[in-house]
Amino acid sequence: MEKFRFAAQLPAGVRKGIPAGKKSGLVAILRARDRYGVFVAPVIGLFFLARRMGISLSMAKCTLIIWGMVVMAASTAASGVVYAVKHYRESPTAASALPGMAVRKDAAPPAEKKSDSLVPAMEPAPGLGVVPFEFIGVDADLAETVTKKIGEGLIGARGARKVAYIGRSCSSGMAKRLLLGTVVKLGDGYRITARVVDASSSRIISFASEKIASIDEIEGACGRISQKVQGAVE
Amino acid sequence: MTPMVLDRHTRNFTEMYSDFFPLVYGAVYSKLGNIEDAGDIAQEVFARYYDKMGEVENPRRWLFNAMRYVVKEFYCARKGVEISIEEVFEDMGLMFVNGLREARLVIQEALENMENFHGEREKILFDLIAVNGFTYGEAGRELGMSERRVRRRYRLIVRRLVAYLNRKGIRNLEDLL
Repeated sequence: MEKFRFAAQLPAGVRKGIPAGKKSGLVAILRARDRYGVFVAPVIGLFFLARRMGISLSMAKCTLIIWGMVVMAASTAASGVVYAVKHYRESPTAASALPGMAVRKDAAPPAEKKSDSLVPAMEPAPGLGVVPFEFIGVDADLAETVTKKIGEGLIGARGARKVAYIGRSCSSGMAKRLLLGTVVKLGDGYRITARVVDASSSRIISFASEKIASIDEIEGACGRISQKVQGAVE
Repeated sequence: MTPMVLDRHTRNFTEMYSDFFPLVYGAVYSKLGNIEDAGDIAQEVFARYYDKMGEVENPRRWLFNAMRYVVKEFYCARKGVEISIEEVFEDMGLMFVNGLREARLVIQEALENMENFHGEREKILFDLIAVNGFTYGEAGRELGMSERRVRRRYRLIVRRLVAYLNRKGIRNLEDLL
């Protein structure tokens, strides 16, 4: 019976042109009835694509597949944005790492983490923890000034990620090395000593000492001490 | 406002449209011989079908009847073109141009008997290949089937049709034509 193909056979060119005309006709019909939009187009596209590939998918299945893909793409994009924002906020050098991103000067600083939080902070320990200097025969403000100036010198030289101020009651896990020191009044002058100590073994890594005749020379003495010990910062 | 998802009516219409479009397009083209007119008319037929789909019991019959009216309207709207719709569609239902009327009626009966086809898609498949001259691959692309599956199903349809004709006492098709 295959020999007897009946009348009205279509030319090959016409047969090949049917799929394109079919889809455009459907789009025109749906568009005229407000049934065609950006969410419907991929469903219809998938439906016709599957048919051309010899796969018979119902429109309901095509809709489910497209919506599944949309949900997956949206969740992936949202996860990427959340990760990027979280990474940016936790990075102290975020502004320099992303030069194209403007940072408002009047923007509120990120909220400090509560010390009594049940979950400990996951930030890495600094290479050097600056402990407030001891003082003998001088007031506490002078010792604090010395500590601050030496610390600033080290931060300026090695960066805020490697050097941090920590309290006197610090544990060895808070920094790999500690900067300890004293400010002592000797006669009319002062003696400032500083040493970098390995937090786990208490071995002295670096040592520096400066004698000054008056308080006016503190600035210079602190700068020299910073330069001497900065090589011990990991 | 465009919809987020297609409603059931539109989904059903799209599937029906995809199945029947080649038949309607092919029927119009085979009678008028103009690709542009065939595309416009087929689109108009399905546009009307979209609005009436809920009331239609036999889509095939409705589509081919609507096609006759749309073709008539289409040419009546063009000044200076007069056609006889009866002449154009005289043999549309039979799809034959040769043979005796009795033989044509027997074969027509065989083709219209849905017992010989497992579902409307098999009927469409048969029409595409036997009437419109689609290859197995082309028919498969229109209906979402692999070429191998189309070939197998077509052979089964032919086998059922031959068995039906045999039961009617027709042993040799050449005698009919």
